[in-house]
Amino acid sequence: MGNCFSNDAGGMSAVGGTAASHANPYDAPNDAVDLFLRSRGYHGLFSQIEISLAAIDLRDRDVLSKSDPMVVIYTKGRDGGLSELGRTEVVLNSLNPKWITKQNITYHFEVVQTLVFRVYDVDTQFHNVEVKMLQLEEQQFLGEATCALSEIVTKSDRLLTLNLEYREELDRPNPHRDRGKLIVHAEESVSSKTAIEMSLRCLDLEYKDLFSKSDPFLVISKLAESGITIPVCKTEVIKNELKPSWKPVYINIQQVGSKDSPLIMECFNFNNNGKHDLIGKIQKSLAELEKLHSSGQGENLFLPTTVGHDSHNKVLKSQLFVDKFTETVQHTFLDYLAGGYELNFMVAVDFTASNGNSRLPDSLHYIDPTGRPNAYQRAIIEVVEVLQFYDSDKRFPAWGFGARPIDGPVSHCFNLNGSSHHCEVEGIQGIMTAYASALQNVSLAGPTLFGPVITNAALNASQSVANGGRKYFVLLIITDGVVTDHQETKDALVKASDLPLSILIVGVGGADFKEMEILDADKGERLESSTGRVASRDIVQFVPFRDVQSYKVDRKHGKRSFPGDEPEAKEEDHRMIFEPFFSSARSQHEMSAMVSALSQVLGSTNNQTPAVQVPMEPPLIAPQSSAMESHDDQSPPQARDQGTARRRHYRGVRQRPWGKWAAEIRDPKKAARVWLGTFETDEAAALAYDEAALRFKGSKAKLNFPERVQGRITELGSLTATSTQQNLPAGASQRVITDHHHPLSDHQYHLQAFPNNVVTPPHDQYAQYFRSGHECISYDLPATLYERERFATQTSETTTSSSSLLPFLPSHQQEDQQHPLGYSMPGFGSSSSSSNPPHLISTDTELLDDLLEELEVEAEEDA
Amino acid sequence: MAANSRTLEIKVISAENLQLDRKPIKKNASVTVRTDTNSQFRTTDMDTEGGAYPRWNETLVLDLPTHSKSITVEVQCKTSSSVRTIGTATIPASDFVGGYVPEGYLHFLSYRLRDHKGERNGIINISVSMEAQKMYAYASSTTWSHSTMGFPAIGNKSFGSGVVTGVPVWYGVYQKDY
Repeated sequence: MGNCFSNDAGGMSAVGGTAASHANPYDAPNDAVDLFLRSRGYHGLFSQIEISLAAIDLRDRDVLSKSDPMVVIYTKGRDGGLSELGRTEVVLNSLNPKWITKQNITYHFEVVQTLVFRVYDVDTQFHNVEVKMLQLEEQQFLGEATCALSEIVTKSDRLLTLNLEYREELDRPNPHRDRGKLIVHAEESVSSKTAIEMSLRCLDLEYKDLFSKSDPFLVISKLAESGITIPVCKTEVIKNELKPSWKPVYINIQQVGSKDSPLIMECFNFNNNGKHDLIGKIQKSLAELEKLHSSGQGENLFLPTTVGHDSHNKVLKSQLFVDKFTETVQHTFLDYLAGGYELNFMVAVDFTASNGNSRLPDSLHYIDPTGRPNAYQRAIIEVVEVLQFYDSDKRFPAWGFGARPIDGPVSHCFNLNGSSHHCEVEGIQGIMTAYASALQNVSLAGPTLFGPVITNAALNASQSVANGGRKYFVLLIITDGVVTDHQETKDALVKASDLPLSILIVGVGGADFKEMEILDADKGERLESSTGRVASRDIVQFVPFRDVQSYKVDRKHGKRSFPGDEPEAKEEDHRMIFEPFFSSARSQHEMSAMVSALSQVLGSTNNQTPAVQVPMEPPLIAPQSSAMESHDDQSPPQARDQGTARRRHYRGVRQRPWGKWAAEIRDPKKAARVWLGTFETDEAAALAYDEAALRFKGSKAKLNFPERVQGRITELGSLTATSTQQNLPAGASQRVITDHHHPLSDHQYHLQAFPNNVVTPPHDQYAQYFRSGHECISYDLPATLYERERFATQTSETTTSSSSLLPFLPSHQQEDQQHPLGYSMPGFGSSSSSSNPPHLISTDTELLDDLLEELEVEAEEDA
Repeated sequence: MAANSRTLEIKVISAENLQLDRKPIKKNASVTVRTDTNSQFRTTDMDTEGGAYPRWNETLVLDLPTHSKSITVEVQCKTSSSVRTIGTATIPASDFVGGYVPEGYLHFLSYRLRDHKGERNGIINISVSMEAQKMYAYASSTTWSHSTMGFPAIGNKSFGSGVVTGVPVWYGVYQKDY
């Protein structure tokens, strides 16, 4: 069987510490969304809390030794149902354990988030079982404690001590109260904007390979409290070299804790079979590394060796040098604004006939006499309300397209205010008035052309540039249909991609916006004009904006039944309580989704992120399922966790020459090969392998997606999934659930997780440009940003399916497409996925195919 | 004959996904920039590290006659036997002269490269800016018109190049090590 090694040449590139990935701090709040919410008065609407746990005086349940405790953390829904958030590790033989695993919870001040902690004594026989695989019924229950998250957060030292109680004894007359105490500590996750760039090199490494020099690479790990090392990043492999000097490594302070926390740097000799030999290691904090750099001296590597029962460190001749050590502060959206730049907002409204007669209530342009805004109005309000804070003059150019002004031919860019000279209107109210009056004055026509509007916007932007303006332009195009002038639009976009302009296209109504994705170059392909010019960067984002009302109607008719439906309904009820805060939770959510898209538009840097970090969690915002749905029909992010530009190879998965992915596994009992079938995507095949592996080997199975198993189990255990669960997108299990049940949040997390990692390619590249000849002192900050931002796309290699910033898709497409994440794992009894599960035995037609493949495989093996 | 000529500063930044005989190239790619009217050309050094994604970051200075309509960018690769052309792109002068922005604006441009059969072969990324204009003695047998490309006489570079076209938005990758 081929491809069983996850470490082929792809494993040789740097991971984690690359320029692109260091710009993604863990748990960093989303500035834009945060600011937006704050602007609406939702101060501290959410914050990320890290819960650490300890216990004292636990009951001893083991006869010969002490208990081996583990805590399972649940949240309690309003209906009393519990849903698991996560588990700690098992601490061996301790009645006063301190658990290392932290639980991240998003704290919502307006929601009572009840947490339940259950402590179990894990039997010795389960000790080599992964924590998430443990069946809790088989474990001994030690006690339970309940508190509200706000109780912890409001304590001055954020430390809450709870008495553990034993459920069954509660009813007894003389409850045994002495079950020990649980100490809960909550800490706000901090984000650090400081990043360190280091160039490392080694001298005099030892030979590890037989016939050649070693192929060294470095793994940098942080040291957790328990002594466990958590890899932070690894460098690329340098072939056949005993004095390697690696490309710069970027480490965010947040990744390692602080400058003084110890880092373990291990130098390995790369081995194709994945068993890399340790050449030597070194333990230094960032501060010490900095000293090493300034002194210019090398530090000897050591190699831990075991002689009998003693282990000691053998100091090697090999040395590590730090050639470069620079500390940089990552700039954020806010820094950018603080640098003096302004956003300038422009709007273009679709007046094509497909919107329907604006006098009829079913028209998208219908202006409700009751004052309820129509889809266009809402989209305008929601985007402008955010942007106006950054636009000082609040004069917005407003255009319409696709309509016939009185006594004229169809215009594809007319001034909304009816004026023939100036297109600007005053404030939101100005846009609204102009929009309403335009509806009276034009007759809807067609077709839908974006080209003229984009050209006009680009003209505005270039004029501002010509006048020395420090403005960044955002064009909002609201449309109900698919653009018909593809090439012209593309040409206009490509031409404008060199300007300080971004375009946010909002789709209203129920049309199929699939084609809009072409413009939204998120899929990795850069826009190309008819003349062969390629867009310098991706300046377009597309978001469908759906009518909340019509969505609800939809649901009542049961038109859509995706797995997330149930919990969602509950959540709705739940949210009603907070009506004052969430006048419309859904539209609120849509807004944040739009803001996300907006900030993505603004960031518009690197979608082809070469090194993407894997396990990600949903965004900070409660992933309320909303009318908008998205669908990731590309490979899930897990596929990229090698952080390389190459596709990941999955265990037990091979690609057929014609592109399909075949999965097979060996039955350990019969030593026979079991054919699992062929799949459209490698993830699907990998999942099928996982499922079979779990069946065969249970907890010892080596999986392609170990992180998903937890989700499966949790899914099982949380049939009572409640609303709060969704409010607490914290644990990994949570993540998986969200992946499965809430396409929206899945998407949203993509939106937020990937987009604008301010990629800092070797960004000095333009510095000299600016130094030489261009006197732009006042442009100091922006200039550097500019250098970074510009051409970030180009610096990345584009071989992967890369971008996961998929645009929103209309919901009805969801069922049609195969969702790689949607495969269920029958082995775990979860049946909640919507797409077709893989089958162990394939259908008749496939059987033949499979047999043929089987034969072929055998032939391969014989050869 | 006296003619207007402009000095063009072309920074060849990088190229992406270059192939030769359908295989990604290993190294030794270089870029030659030509003007269409006079036979001027400049060539970068060879990139030795980037493989199919070479990076040069090299500034080439060319004089562009006013009547020039385009420049040609050609990516070559030195193989063991010869220097072979990987792909070319023709850049219309209108992409960096006139148009939306003032002279001196630092244009970041990307082009699709096509090989001699016209097949797509990678992308080249360059930046182009126009130096201040100067009079230049130039002999040519071709006829031209001065008016085709008007551009402001005063080029203030300081803002042309300092404009931000991307806002860094700070996103977290909500990742934790478990």
